[in-house]
Amino acid sequence: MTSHAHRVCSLIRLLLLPLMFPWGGLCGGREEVLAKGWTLDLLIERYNQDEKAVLALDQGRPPSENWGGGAPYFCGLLNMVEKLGDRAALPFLEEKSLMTNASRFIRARAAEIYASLATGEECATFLPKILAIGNEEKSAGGWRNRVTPVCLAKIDAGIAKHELSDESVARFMAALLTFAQSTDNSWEAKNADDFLSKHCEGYPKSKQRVALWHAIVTTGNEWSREKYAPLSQSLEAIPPSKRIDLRKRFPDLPPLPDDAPARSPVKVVFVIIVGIVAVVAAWLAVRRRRVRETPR
Amino acid sequence: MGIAGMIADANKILWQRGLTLVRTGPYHLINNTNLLDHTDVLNPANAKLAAMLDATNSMGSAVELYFVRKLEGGAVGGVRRSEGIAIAAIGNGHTIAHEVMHDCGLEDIYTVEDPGGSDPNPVSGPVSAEHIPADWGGGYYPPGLAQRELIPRLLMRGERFGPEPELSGSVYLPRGTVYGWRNAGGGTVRTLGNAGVGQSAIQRNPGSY
Repeated sequence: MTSHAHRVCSLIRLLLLPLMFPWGGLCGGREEVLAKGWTLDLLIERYNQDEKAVLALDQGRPPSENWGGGAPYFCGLLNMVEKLGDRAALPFLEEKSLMTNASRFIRARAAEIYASLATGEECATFLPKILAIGNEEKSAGGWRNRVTPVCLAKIDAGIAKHELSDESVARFMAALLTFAQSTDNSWEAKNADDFLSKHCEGYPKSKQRVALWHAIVTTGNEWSREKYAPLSQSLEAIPPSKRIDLRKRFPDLPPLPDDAPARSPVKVVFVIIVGIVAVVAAWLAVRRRRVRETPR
Repeated sequence: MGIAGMIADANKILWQRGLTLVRTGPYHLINNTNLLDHTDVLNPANAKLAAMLDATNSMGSAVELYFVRKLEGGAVGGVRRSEGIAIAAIGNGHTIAHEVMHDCGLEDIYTVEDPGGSDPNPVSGPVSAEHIPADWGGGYYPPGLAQRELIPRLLMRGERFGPEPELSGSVYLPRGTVYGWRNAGGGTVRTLGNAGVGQSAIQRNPGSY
């Protein structure tokens, strides 16, 4: 009996063990927020209400990086949303992540929390949206420097577990390739490059990859140029005939810098007309010559 | 904005006390990503923050400023300890001026008891002689001005709560104490009372150890 009671006590202790560590929302997170009377709906309502008022107050003032000192308050509300850990917050967090007229600090915080709550599939849809927003930094990740790696890691894990549909992976890959063709941020380029090298067949020796690193080392800052010059040189060493053009698989990718300039239809028509005129002129010349050579 | 610009902005506020911050040493860049973000910054036992602020000891002859990425996940702009002042990316010149005045011995004042509570419990009542004992009559206050509207004008205002006016307008250093929510005994529990947010509460020159 004593032994049985001891075993039960040990089991209870084992079950209580996770509560001693700050994993998930068990230790002081979710309960702390709930104890203060908050619910997710209430937090979202307060946030939106105050945001509206702050936007109205700040209208017409010089733009402020931290929303006139209000950013910490809004980050505090977002921190509570994070502690609640409720996935129902995802649409709200996405909206705040994409709000370009908000302080970048708030955008970053909302996006970080979104990435922490989202699945790999959701990250594959979310990441291209935030990558489409401008980034002021050239070598560090800027406002999304803690978001991109988390999203990529979740997508990576999702692919490994076959949780993402083929369509989602293809759509994400196309979006990431498009982003990689346009970014001048070496840190973000490296993140995208690592992911594509692992998951996109043909990318390591692609024309798109050569173009990406050529652009980074020619237009980037001194740090980027020094750091990525060896990578760019090794890619330039791939013979052009062996470089793969990923546009065969992803037709919507942007043109490459060394593409032949596109001809306008007017020019093509003009060239064809000139060609026809030249052929007619040559035929007339040959005819005249034959006429002249005819013995009289 | 760069660090020099932030310090110049801080000086525009600190002139009220005749203080000017001048950079006297080189910038030191610490290549340690572990020190970029800090949480639990008000906990005196926070070893990570203490270790960073202890990287230099000026023996009180200089104000040490440590520029980091985030404090409390973006919810705090700056924090002051005797070892130095940490300023987050979200902070600015106003944050530096505010923290430097903490170094001089001033305390924070808040308009609400609990900014993280669903019922924040704001300070009530109009501005009166009891609420600003050393400054009553020392300035013009519109009739019926609420104490809650006066506090956001003060440099030692602790936060911008909700849609209150911008922090950039919070520059006043009054002569004496001001009634509002304050952290009793330097703790985190707020009580209503006369907060030492003015010239009379200044105890020393700013400096880090």
